[in-house]
Formats: sequence, structure tokens, C-alpha cells
Amino acid sequence: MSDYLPEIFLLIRKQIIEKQNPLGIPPDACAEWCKNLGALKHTDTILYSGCLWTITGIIERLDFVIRRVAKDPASDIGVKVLGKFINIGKKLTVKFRNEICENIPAKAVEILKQLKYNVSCLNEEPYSGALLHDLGFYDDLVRYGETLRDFFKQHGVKRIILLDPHTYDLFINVYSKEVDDFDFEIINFLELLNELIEKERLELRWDEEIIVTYHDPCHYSRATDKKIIDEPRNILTSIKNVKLREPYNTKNLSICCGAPLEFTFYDLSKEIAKIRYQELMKTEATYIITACPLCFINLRRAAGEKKEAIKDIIDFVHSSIKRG
Amino acid sequence: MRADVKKIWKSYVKNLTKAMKDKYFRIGVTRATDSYEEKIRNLLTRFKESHELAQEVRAIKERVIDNIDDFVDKAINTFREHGFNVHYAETEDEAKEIVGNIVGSGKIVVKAKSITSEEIRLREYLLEKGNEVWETDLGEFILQLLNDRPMHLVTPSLHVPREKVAEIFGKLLSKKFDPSNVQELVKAASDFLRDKYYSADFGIVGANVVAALDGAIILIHNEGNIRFITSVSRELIILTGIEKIVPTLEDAMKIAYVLSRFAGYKVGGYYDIIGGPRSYNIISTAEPLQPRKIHIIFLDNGRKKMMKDPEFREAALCLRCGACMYSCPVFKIIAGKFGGPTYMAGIGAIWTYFIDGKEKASPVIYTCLLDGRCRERCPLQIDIPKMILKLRNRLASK
Repeated sequence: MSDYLPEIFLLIRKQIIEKQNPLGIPPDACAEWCKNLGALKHTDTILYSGCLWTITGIIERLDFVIRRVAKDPASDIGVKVLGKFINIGKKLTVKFRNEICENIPAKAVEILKQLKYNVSCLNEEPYSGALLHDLGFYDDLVRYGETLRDFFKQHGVKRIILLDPHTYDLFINVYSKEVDDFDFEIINFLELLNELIEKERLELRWDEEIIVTYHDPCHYSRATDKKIIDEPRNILTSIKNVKLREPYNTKNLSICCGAPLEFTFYDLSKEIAKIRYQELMKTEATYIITACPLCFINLRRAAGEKKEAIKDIIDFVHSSIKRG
Repeated sequence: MRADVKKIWKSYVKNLTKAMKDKYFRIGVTRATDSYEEKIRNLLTRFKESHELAQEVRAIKERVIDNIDDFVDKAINTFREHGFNVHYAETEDEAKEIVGNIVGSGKIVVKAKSITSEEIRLREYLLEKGNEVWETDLGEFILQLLNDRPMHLVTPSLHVPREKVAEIFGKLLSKKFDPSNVQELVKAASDFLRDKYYSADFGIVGANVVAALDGAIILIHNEGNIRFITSVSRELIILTGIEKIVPTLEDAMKIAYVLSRFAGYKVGGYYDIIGGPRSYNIISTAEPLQPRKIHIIFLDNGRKKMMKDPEFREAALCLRCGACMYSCPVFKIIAGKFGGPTYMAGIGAIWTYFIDGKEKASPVIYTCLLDGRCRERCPLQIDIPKMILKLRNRLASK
């Protein structure tokens, strides 16, 4: 179909268009986290994960496949292997479940509940479409944005809270501008959290004194319009007993974790993660705090046995409440 | 994927993987990217005005790009008035033919480092025609001996550790070299090349900036080799891409300043300005009472197409300081293997698309992380990721 693109990109595109998910996971399986939360008060404000946490979690569990598939993007064999896994659909979320990742969106909702912020989520979560954007399928992307728009409208959604930089960037910079009537209010979770923590004077506390470092995701710290740099730092330093130590390269010059190359050049992607991981570890922090599921799993890959040292900011804040 | 494209991808992946596993390559690249990033960071902290001047430079370059046909005409006329032999080449082949006709065969040619000459494979072409050709930039000289390609615009041999240099010099000069004695290595190269400058029939240089209205070029270098070539050689050939054109010499100086600063130098070692042939020669080995011939070749080779494409004209702003490359996470691992036949890294992916075609550009376009660190470091804040996405869209729609 395409003269210039590796088959694996075409496979991903096909899955997104036909199944609304790059791994072929059905939208209702993507929303397991929401269903597990039990009944939430109905509101037109939703927290939408775009299935990204579930997807990245499964990708981490499928490491043994991805590693081989993305060795040679020009080879078709890898696609056949990956295709087999993708074809099992819903079973992926059972067989390769990754609870650490999968529960992050639910934790975000719980944090907002603690802050008395009224939010709900949907029993179906189609994927955001971010990969269509990154791989260059622009026309498909705009069409996909239209179906997402209709989906949200059918559910009476007015405001959408987004958890990760890729989905946020896409909604703000592409869908809101290029898709007709994509007129939802788009809210970034970290911005909201930063505001609410101040407003509600929520006490956050870590049990013992620790040093953490923060890894800026590219689409926050180098966003072309509104950069999200201070918010996560404010959130982290508002937690008692937590000291934030900056890595050498930080904020707008932070180094990418390498994750965007995982499906094309896996080994290269991992080598880049190692550079960043080592730099972050030089701060001697107990935890490396991330704010993007892709960074989260790729830095975990680089950390190997020490992967528990990587923590997502949502998870970290959530634990700080419980202990508070 | 089309079969010919697949072949290109296969060999790209092979090279990339090989470099990634090459311990020495990785050491060289890490050392260079870390130290240059540090140099640039310090300079930009010390000289905050660099950014303002860079913004001025952007406006100058944009004006030229918007009126490129006009500025090329102006440059041709002014340089002709100044006594240059002016040539215009639309394609790589035309440029080679022009140089071939000037040089002929059986000659000795000394070359300065010039990415534009790399683009048209000029050294290889002149060698094939039976000439003796020497790269005089130390890094390029090393690569010539190794039969290797540059891995960076400013520091072409950043991936070659000194151990390898000692080995290759040893072979050339039948002598044993101690890799830790860098001074001895540099001296060996300069002793070898000194004779070549004097015996050369032709000198070939590029240009860092071309002042169209004043009819002069600026060359920036750090080793003094270019000064030697431009002064001593009997006949001089300047090969430059049309993207190097700016209106005045004052504009050109601003570019020279920004270019040096973002390349990691407070000021460059040498700045040469050439405004025309001398009426008589007391330095060069040419006929003393005859004006020495200086040729200038303006090369298009896809540049106009880039400049006239509203989605990609920004790529033609590139000053080739290389700051984006040191800052790129992919480049930190595989250096110029993230690149096409000549142009490297994200900006190089765009240039490869216009110079070498979409086939060769396709794997490079898909090696970019879209992380945007290059844009932060670029003096002109060229939005490379945005253009990469546009290129992906063009490839994906085919």
C-alpha cells in the first residue's frame, strides 16, 4: 500500500482505523480501570486516558516480541509475529495485564475525588489517535478525530481532562484546530492538579524524607505553545518530606527518553533511554518521577532491575495522599 | 514497501546497528557531543546577545529566501563585475562537469572541508578523472585516508578515536605513531600536506556566507588550512550552495558571528573574506603579473525547490552550525548514521529529501524522535519536528 513505509506502521494504522486501538484492544477493555472505580456521580467532565496507560503497560509485557519485531523495520517477519498478538484483541488485556500502568487513570480520578473535583469516566475508551499523527497519516487522523468527536458528543461530554503529554498535545494542537466542532474544553491533569492542591490546601506527605528527580516529557517542556514545566515541580515540592533535585539537562533542554522509536528501532530507543536514565540517576534521587506513560516504560526498560525507581507523578501523588 | 526502498532501509538499519555496537565509535561520539554541548551552553550563558543577533539573522535569511531568484541574479552580476569567473549549476552533474572542465586531469588539487562538495561527491569525481586530490582539513584528511564519511558538519571525524588515527597515519607514512601523542599526529599531517599546497594546481573551497550585493564570500575555519589554499593555489574554485547568499557583507558578518557561536566557538579561528582576484601575485604560484583566476560556482541541486515550498522553506535557513546535532538524543548514539548520503540528523532528513530524493530520505525521516530538542538549540529556532511530520505525511500518502 505504501512505497516508503515499513509494514509495521501500516499494521498500526489499520488497527487504529478498524479497531480504534493500535493493539486491537476493544474500547470496553480499555476502560476496565473506569469500570473498577464503581459508580461515579454523573457529570459532563470526563477523565480520558485514550487507553494509553493500558497500551503502554501491555507493550512493556510484550517486550520480548517488540524487541524482535523492531530490530529490522524493513523486514515483514516482525509484522507477522506482532500481528498474531494483536489479533487476540481483548485477551491481550488479560494475558499481558500490567497493573502498575493500567491503574494510573483510576488513581488520577481518586486524587480528583479527594480534591472534591467532580469527574467521571466512560465505559469505553477508544484510543487517542496519537500514532496516526506521529507516523504521518494526517488525513486518517483528521477523520479519526471526527469519530472521536462524535463519540464524546454522544456521551454528552463537555470537558475532557487528559493525563499524558501526547494525547494532550494532539487534542490541543491538532483536533481542536483541524477537526470541525471539536469544541470541548481540554484540561491538562497536571495543570488542574497544581491549581487544586493550592486551592484545597490538600496535605500531601511522603513517609520518610526522600530526594526525587523529575524527567520532563518532550511534549510538555518543549510544547510550542503552552509549556508545562512548573506545574509538576510545584506539585512535587508541595509534598512534605520530598526534595526535588534537577538533573543536568532539564526543562526545555531535557533529553528525550527515546520511546518514540520503540516500534522502529528498539535497540536505539533503549540506548537513548540509558543515557537519560544514567543522567537522572546522577542526582542520587530515590525516585525518578515521570509524567508520560511512554517515558515511564522506556526508562523502566533502561533501569532493568532497578525499574521500581521510576514512578509516575500520578502514582506518586496518590501514594502521598494515602500516607497523609 | 517498494523493493528498492526496502534495500535502502536494510542497509540503513545495518549501518545504524553496526555503529551502535562499535565501542570506539560510541566513545568518540559521546566525547564530542558532550563536550560541544557544554561549550555551546557556556557560550550562550556568557553571551546572551547571541540569541538576539540570531533573530536578526533569521530575518535576513528569510528575506533572501523569499526573493531567491533575484538574489542569485544579483550575486552572479556582482561577482562577475569583481572579476570572478561565475558559474551556475542547477544539478549535481552540472556542477561536476563545470569543475571537471576547469580542472581536467592529471592535476594536484587541495580541498578545504566543504559539505557542498561532499554533496556532489567532488573529491571522488576528480579522483576518477585522474587527479591527485587532498583534503586539508585534519578531520577530512583522516576520513579520506579511512575512506569514511563525515559524521558532523563542523567536526567531521568526531567518531574516529586517536588510536585509529595513529594506525592510519602509520600506514600512509610507514612510521609508528603513539596515539597519545596528539601533537605528533597533527604535525605528521601538516608536514605531509604542506608540500601539497605548494605543488597544487587548484584549490577548492566552499563558502560559509556569500554577500550578493558586495560580491564577497566569508570562509570560517579553525586550522588555517583554508588561508593557505586561498593564498597559494594557482587557481581557486569556490563551490557554494545558493542558500549561503545574503544581501551585504555586514549581514554576512552577523551570520559568521552567530554561526561560530552556536558551533561552540567564542570566535572562529580564522575568518577569510574574498572579494575578487588580485591584479598581481606575490604569494600564489600563479603567473605573477596575471590576475589569478577565481571561479565561483553557485549550486541549486534542489535548494530552490525547498525555498519555494511554503512547508519547507524554513529548512533553507539552516546555517550549518551543527548545534542541533550535538543536542539530538539519536545523534548522541549513532551520530551521522542518522542521516542521508550527505546531510545528517533531523535537519539533514529534510535536506536529504530535497537533494537525494524521498527514497534515501525515508528511513532518516522515520529515525527522528520528534522531541524538539534541536529546535531549542537552533539559533534560528527552525521547527524541524514540524517539517519531519510533513515529510512523513508525504511519504505515507504515497
